[in-house]
Amino acid sequence: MKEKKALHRFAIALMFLYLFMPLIATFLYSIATDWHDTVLPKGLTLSWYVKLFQDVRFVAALGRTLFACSVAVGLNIAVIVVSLFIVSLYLPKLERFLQAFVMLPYAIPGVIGAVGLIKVYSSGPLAISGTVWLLIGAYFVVILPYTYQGTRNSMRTVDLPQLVSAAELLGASKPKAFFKVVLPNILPGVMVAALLSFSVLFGEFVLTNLLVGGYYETVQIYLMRRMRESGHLSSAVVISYYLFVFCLSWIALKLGQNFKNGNFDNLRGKKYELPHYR
Amino acid sequence: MSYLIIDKVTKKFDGTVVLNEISLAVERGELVTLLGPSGCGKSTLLRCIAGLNEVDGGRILLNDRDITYLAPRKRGVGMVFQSYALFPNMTVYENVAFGLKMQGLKGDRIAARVREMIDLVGLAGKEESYPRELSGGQQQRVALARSMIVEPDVLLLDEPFNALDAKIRKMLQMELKNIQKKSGMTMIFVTHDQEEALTISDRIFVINEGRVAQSGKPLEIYSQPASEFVARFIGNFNVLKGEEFERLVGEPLFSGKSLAIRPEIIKLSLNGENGKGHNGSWRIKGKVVGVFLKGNILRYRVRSKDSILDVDVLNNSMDCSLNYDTSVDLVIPKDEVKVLNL
Repeated sequence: MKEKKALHRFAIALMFLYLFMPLIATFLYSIATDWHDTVLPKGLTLSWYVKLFQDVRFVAALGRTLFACSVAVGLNIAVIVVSLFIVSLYLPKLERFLQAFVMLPYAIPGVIGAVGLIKVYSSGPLAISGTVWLLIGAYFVVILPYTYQGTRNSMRTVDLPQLVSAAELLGASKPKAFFKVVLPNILPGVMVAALLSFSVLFGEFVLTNLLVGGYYETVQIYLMRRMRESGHLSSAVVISYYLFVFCLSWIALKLGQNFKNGNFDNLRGKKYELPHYR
Repeated sequence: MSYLIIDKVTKKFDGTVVLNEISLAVERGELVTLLGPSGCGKSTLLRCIAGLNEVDGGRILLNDRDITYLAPRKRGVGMVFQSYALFPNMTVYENVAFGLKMQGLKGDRIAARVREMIDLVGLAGKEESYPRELSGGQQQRVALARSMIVEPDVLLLDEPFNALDAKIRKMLQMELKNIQKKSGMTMIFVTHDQEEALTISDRIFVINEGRVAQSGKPLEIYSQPASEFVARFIGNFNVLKGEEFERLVGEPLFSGKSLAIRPEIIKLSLNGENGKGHNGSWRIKGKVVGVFLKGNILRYRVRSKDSILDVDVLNNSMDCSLNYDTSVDLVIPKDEVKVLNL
C-alpha cells in the first residue's frame, strides 16, 4: 500500500515537473547572467528585473493593461450577472438564446473579429478605432463565454427563484434580495469566472496588436518589442506576468471562500457577534 | 367576514386552467389544509396567495384588504417552502433574523425575538450553524422560525415535510400543531398526504382539478366523503357501483349510484361465528385473498362474488389466524354505507 502511494506521488511529481519545466526554465533565464552552452546558467542576477521595473514604459504598459482588462471584466461581469438574474427570474425561456448569443465569440477567429471591428469603427458616428475604448469593447465580447458560463453555473447551484421568493416574502425588495441573498451565493463562481477572463485578456495578443498596436502599448505589445532586444528581459516580463496572475488568483479564491462562508463582516473589518444572546 | 377569502380565483398556465374559479374562506387562527393529488392546483393556489404567481381572475382578500395584485412583500404573508429555501450564506441566527432586519429593527430587539423563536422551534445551540450543517428536520424548523418571526397575517406551508423521513415527519406534524395553537397564527398547509392532513388540520379543503371538491372538519371529510373522488383520495374506502353492491347484498337499493364503505366499519368473522346480520346490517360471505400488515392495523382483502372489499381490523393475535382462502363473513352496518355524488 505504502509502495503504491509512493509511486502515485512520484508520478504526480513527475507530471508537475513536466508542466512547470517551461516556467522554471523561463525563470532561470530571467535571472541568468549568461546561459548559452551550459546545462545551468553561468551566473545569477536580478538585474533584468531591476531594469524591467525601472523602465517607465513597462510600468505604463502594465498600468494600461490593468486598466483595459479591469474595465472590460468589470463591465462584463456587471452586465452578465444582472442579465442572467433577470432571465432566470422572469424570462427563463430566453436563456437558450442568450447562451447561443454569448457563445458567438468562440466561432469568430481573432483576426477576423479585429478586422471587422476596425472597419466598423474607423469612421462614422463612433470613430474609436485605435483607442482603448475599442479594445475594451472587443475584450468585453471575447470574455462573454467565460463569464456567462461561470455565472450561470453558480446560479444553478442555488435555487435562485426560490431564494428570491423567500427573501421577498420576508420583506426584501428585489434589489435587496439580489444583493443580500443572490450575490453572496453566486460570488465564488463569479470571482472564478472574472479571474479566468482576466487571465485570458492579460495574455491576449492578436486583438490588441491589430486594434491598438503601438497607439496603446499594453504588456503584450511591450513584451513583443523587448523580445527582439533581450531574451532575458522578456523572460523577466513573462515571470512577472505569471506572478501577477498567481497573486490575483490567490486573492480571488480567498475572497470567494470568505463570501461562501458568509464572513462578510470580516471583510468589512468587524467580527459578527450575536448581540446580548445566550 | 372571514379572515382570508379566496373568491373565484382563476389561474392558467399556457392556456391550461390550473385554478378554476376556486373559492374558499379561512377563519383567523385556523390551521387549514389544502389536500389533493399532484397537479390539482393546491401549490399554485398557495403561490397566488403569496403573490408569487399572478392570478388571471378573481380576488384574494386578507384581513379585509384586497391583496390580489400586491407585491409579495406587502401582503403580510409568510411561506415555508418544500425545499426550505434557506439562505446558504447565512447562519441559523441570520436566517431567522433576516425578516426583522428587512423591517428595519435593530440589534437588541432582533436578538430577543430571534432567541424566542429559536427556542420555540427547539434549535437553541444551533444559532451559528449554517444550513448545510443541519439535518433536514432542523432545516425545516429554521424555515418555520424564519417565516413565523415576522408575524405574518397568514403563514403558507407548501408540503414542508415532504423530504423528511416518516418518524421526523410525524414529530414535526405534532410540533407544528402545538406551535400553531400557541401562537394562534393562521396557517394554510398544503399536502397530498391524507393522513398528514387528518392529523394536523382544523379544516380540510380537498382540491381536485382546480376546484374545492369538499371542505369540512377532518372527521367529516373522512366519515362523510361527498364524492367518489374524495372517498378514493381521502382514505382507503371501498368504493362500489350500486349494481355491484346490490349483487352482494341481494337487495335492489342503489342502482345508478356509487357507494363508499370504510374498511374499519366492516365486521369480519369466521363462517358461522358471532351471530348473524340483523335489520341494521347486511351479512355477506367471502374468502380472504390478501393480508396486509399496517402496524397496529391488519388489512384483509376479501373477495365476495365478483367484488373485492378491504376490511381493517385491530392487529391482535386472534385476527392473525386468518390466512389466505379462509372463508369469512362480513357484516356491514347499513347506516355506514355512504351514497356518493358522482
